[in-house]
Amino acid sequence: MQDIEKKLMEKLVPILGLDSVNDIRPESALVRDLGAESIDFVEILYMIENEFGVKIKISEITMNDYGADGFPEDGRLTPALAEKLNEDFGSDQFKEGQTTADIFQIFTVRNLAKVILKKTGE
Amino acid sequence: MRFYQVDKVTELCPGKYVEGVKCVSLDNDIFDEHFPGCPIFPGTLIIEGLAQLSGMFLEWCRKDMGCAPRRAALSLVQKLKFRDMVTPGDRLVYRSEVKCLYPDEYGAVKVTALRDGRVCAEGELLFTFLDILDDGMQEVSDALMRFATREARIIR
Repeated sequence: MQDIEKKLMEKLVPILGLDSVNDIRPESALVRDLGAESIDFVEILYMIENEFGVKIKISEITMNDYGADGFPEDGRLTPALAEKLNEDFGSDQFKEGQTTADIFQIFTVRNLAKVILKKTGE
Repeated sequence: MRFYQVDKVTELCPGKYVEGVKCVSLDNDIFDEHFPGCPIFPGTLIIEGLAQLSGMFLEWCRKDMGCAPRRAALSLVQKLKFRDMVTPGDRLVYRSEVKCLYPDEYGAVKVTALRDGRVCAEGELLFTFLDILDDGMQEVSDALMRFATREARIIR
């Protein structure tokens, strides 16, 4: 997991226009902290496909398809889904009431590394 | 002024590749400045031509796959190298090969510009698919592309 995080952070530096890898921490949120824009995500997903050999969809970052029943119809996280997300990602950042837009804002480098790790293991 | 940097599409193979032609002529105003007394076709216009051909092709592929129309927007130019100079009188063959195509998200292509079989430029382009915001503009663009592809050989 740490190897994936390290490589991911190194590869994110030029895409996000940062000066060095020291500007990124695993806990940094791609959008909120590092200023990633929607067009950057296309480049990020393409980089992941080339560097890690796995294809990730945008919906896997916004969690649109998450859980057996998908995202709740009202577009907000239920307590059960928030708990499942926190458990799967080993974090406490997901909370009841958050929308897909909120999740997109707070999605971290570590979260992305987790998705890559899960995919590479499949 | 029309800003179309492809004269003709010659060959289309759905999901795989497209080829087109660009003829470089001395009557192009760009040579007044680029450069005085030494006309060289700008590399940026070669990239533009490769991007126009590739974008049109990816839109065409999506349509061929039964997807709702979306606009292919150039979002990344990478590993692009200019290998040789292009001057008036040159006939460039642009080729774009699909590296990956995810109709709901993005597409990547390997592009080459050849003159007499020799590589003048090569690289990779990445496109994002966006919703069409102006139907009128899209219709104009589609009509011209229909004209450009009227003699294209479609290989299935």
